[in-house]
Amino acid sequence: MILRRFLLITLVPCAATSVAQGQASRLDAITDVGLRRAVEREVVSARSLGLPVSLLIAKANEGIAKRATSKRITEAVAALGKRLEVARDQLAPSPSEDEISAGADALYVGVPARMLKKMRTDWPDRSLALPLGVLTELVAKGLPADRAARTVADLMARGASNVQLVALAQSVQGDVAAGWAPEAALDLRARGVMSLLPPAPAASAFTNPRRP
Amino acid sequence: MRGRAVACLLFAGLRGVAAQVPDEIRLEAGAAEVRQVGTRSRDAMLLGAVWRRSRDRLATTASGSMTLARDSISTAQGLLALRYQFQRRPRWHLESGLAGAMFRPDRLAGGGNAATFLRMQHEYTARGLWFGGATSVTNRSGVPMRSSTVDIGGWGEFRRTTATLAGVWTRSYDSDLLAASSLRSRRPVGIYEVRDATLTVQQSLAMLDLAAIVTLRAGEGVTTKVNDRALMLAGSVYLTPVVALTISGGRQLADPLRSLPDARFLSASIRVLLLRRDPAVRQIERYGAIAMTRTDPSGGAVLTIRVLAASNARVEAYGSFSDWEPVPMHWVLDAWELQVKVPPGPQRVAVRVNGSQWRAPANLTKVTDEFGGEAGLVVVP
Repeated sequence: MILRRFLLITLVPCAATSVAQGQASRLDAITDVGLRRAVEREVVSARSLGLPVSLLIAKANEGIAKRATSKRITEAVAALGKRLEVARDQLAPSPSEDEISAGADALYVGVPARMLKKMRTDWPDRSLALPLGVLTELVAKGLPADRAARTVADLMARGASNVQLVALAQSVQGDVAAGWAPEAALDLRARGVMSLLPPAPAASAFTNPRRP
Repeated sequence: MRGRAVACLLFAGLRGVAAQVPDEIRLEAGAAEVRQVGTRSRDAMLLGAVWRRSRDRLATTASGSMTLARDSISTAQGLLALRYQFQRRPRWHLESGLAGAMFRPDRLAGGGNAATFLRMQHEYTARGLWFGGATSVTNRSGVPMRSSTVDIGGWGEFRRTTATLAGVWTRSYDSDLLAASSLRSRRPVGIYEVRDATLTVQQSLAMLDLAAIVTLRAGEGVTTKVNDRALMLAGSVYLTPVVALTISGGRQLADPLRSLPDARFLSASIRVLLLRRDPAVRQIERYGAIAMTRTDPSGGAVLTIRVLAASNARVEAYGSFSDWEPVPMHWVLDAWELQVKVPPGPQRVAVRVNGSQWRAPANLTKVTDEFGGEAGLVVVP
């Protein structure tokens, strides 16, 4: 018992230190001292809020790789921190890191926060990371967020798999590249996927979702 | 003598480029009605050819054209232009070239013109700026007359519309052209200056290209101050993917650099694309790459990126899969390729060739980031 307690006291801080050291070493790779401190401040703030800090460090690395100015990188990291916080709140009560990340991406392209909340309300048990990714892709293509969210929700309600959702987004992308209007392409492709799915139950679709 | 030397150089250059394998060859033939200032209209025949080749950081364009009229205004022109992209500063391009012409304008004596230009251009996504200069010598009846220009401008693409605004300052001794154009002056004269502001707007629709060019000119001839303006319009209808009918018309202000007189014109021509590399290949080249995902039985997917570029190019990819660290791609059979295992969820990917700008693969949804760059979004099931 004493040994177990000793191991717990010793190993848990070691594991936490190891993760922190891994992130710290990535932060150390930022040679601009001012930028590193600014990113560290954001990371500390995000950690205190329980947000996935690796995404913030990745964003800083992205800015460095793209040769952005320190000011721009700091602003981008801070903005991502805010989006992660909003996404986590909207996807509460217990969103995964992937869901928070996908939610932040969706917010970035213009999906309203209330849509994240509605999707979580409708699908409390299903992972929303991939549906949010598909929604992000559709909105980035120029589709109105309401229209895209409704289509994704309809397909999920009919039991569409993740693969079918991704195939829908890819088909729409191909149609748009061929000159179709995004909304017309979405209508056509959504009907195509719908035709492969069983009819929607009258009222249970949103209340009894199944985890894929 | 100097004009002959430039003409010989131009001829040798054109022969040199003709020996290279081109990416595009285009021929154009048509008819025009041309009316110079103070003269009656004349019918003319137009013939032209364009040759292009792009390799790595160097693009070469050679063109030749002839305007043939029964009694006058006959000209033959040639152009050889090079565009070089700097390896260390990929957003900067150096453009340079030679142009030569032989002409027999109606109200002027026959002769020739040789010009050279140098220009620096900075491109940023779908926008760019340039500055440069050009100089020319026009020789009529053994009297050489020099002209020089300094130009600065910018352009931007907005969806299917391209707008270009340019300012050109010209100083010229070509007093014959001055006398034969709307720059109204009395001979003999010395140096004169003109300042032009030109706005070009081009619109590309499915089968139709439209262009409008507006020029405002202010200048000082020897005896008269000149304020003038001109409008040119052009439209091309693609009858097939390789044949286009072009109709253009309007007014062209006197151009001392190329020794072109002030004229009003209306022309119709057929343009035929004799050679062009496969459109799908060109699309890949234009946009950089294509990316595909294949489900991995052990979870996630394998993302394959392919880029069509020269085998001696330096091709890299990066994205969320590499924490935005550039990853060198490998030459596989006939293209550059990278395969990486990616987890389920959204991934962002971009590619670049020879250190140039990062581009989203053509078949992915393009998203812009907070740093002014672009990437392709792919959702991995």
